[in-house]
Amino acid sequence: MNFYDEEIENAIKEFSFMQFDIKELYKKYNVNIKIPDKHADKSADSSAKQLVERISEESKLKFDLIVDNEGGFSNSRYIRIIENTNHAKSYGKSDDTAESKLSQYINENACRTIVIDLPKGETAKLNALFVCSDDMALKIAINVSDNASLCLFEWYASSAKENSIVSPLHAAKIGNRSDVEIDILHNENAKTSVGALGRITVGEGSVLKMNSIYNGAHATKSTNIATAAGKGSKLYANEIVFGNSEQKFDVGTFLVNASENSTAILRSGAALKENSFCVLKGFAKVEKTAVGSYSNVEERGLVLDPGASVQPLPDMSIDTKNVLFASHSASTSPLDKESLFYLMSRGMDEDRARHVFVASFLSKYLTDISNDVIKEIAISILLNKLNKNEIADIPKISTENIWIVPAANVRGK
Amino acid sequence: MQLDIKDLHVEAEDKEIIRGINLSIKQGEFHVIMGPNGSGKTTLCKTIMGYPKLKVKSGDIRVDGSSILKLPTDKRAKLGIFLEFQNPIEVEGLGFVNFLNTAKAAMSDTPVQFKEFMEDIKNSVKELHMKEDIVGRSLNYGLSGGEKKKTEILQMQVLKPKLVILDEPDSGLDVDAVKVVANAITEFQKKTNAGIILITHYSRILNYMNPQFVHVLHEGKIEKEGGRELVEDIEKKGYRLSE
Repeated sequence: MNFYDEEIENAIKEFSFMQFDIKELYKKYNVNIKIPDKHADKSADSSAKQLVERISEESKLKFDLIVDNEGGFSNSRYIRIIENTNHAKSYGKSDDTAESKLSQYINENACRTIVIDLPKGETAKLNALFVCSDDMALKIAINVSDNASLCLFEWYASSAKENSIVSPLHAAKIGNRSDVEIDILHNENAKTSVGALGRITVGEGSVLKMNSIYNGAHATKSTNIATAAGKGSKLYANEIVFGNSEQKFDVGTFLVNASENSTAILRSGAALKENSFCVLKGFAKVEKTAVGSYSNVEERGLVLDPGASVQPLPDMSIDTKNVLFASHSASTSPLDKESLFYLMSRGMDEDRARHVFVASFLSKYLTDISNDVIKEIAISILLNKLNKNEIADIPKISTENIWIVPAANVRGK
Repeated sequence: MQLDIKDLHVEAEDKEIIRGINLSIKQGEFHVIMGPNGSGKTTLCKTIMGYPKLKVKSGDIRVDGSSILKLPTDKRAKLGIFLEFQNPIEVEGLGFVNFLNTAKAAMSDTPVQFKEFMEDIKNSVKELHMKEDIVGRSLNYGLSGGEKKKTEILQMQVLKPKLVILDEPDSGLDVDAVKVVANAITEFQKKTNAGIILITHYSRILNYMNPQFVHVLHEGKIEKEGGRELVEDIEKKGYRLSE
């Protein structure tokens, strides 16, 4: 079996059987996305093509992979697009979780598999753009061999005119002593919902940084499992949720310390306006084998309007006594009046002070993005939404805001 | 700029904290306000800056003859009033340089000249014996109490206000740092001729400074006024001067 078929099968199996919403609170605070019984992967319409052009023009980014409902194009030797993909073995509906349903749906309906394969010792920076004008189910398999370095940016956008769902399944394996950064920007329009699943394992001495930005779509359900499988491996996950209007987000990230001296750190921040809602389900599991490991889950909510609501639900399960550090924390607050007074005492009017405060809250989760262009894109899109209140608008990508993002945070370890 | 405080009465949560203060500070003057804990020193500072939780019951605060009571905090800052906070806030994610640039732009009618602005920061960092990495960090995030106080002084130097209110600039500073901060304030006043109100519990910082006017605040009123000799009296007798 090809590595990608095997990894995808493992992911489908895990999502089919793992009972993510076994916790009562997870069931209580759950965002339901409508998963179609079956979808036809329709052709891309002209609006998708126009959106691709617009994003390319505004971002000035060279995309190594562009995928729409019609098909995909890549000019990178590290990327293959397999049309009419094989479907993994069906495991049946083992339980009734959204993840199980979603994994089955993607398994049965994905029309193509994107394979990113980085050989031993190689370095690649890849930019991918996914634009849907209709339902789009995708399988994305990533293999990073030993001593390799990958920086992958995925931008999801949509031009859908009717309700549709974009549902990528990531199945990734990182070898030993490799360095991987995966930056994902969800900026779909309000007709679109997102049902995303990801499973990734990290080998010995490797570092994975995952930076996820949830800005678009009317409803998002995203579940990721990342395992620090190899000795001394390190996982750093940063998540930003920025919602307005009636947007709903359900973001579950499960970090697993499975090996000696491994590190898993999750930092999630949700800033919500108007009537938007977000539940953050960060979970760190420290397995028996994870002696001397470091794990931390930190969830922060910033509520900007009375109608908005953030539910941070961090949790841990620790199966070994000998850990270096294991902690989780959560807080949700409205805009801090003392901070506003301070900023206003430096000449900023109230609107400007609010703007600066929210931008600061969001930008602290961008510090791990190594590529300044991607930082610029992220901060431009977030600030544009802060100013204009429009979901998924594509602003002019400006370099003038890049310095909003401060230098990397000093880590606990 | 001249600041005049006229028979000021201020309440916080229905409790009167300031009970009839009169004070005038002219351009270039150096005033010190001392007083025991809870005497109303910080309340007075915050009232001048327009802290929304404080209610002015009567009296007035005037800048060059015009009342500023109805002005929001940012407008008071734009007039040239600067408050150095006793407990500066931390904002993770707000890059210090970005913050200061935004503040500078808000205060100026003309665009900020970035090169000069960065030069100002660099000079201040050196003068205040600060670590250079401050420019890349979030506003006050993870800084010690002393470092936070120094970043407040740095802001003062870069923003160049006309009236500076320093709320315990010596708290949290070690002996050497007190001297550094005192010298920086003195130099700033020499260069800009700004009016200064310095609030302090202790006379330590005043060993390196030359205030012209000293006011002792007690239970929301100015109990005693004088020159530098008053500091020495307080040093000997404590705040129970009338006994």
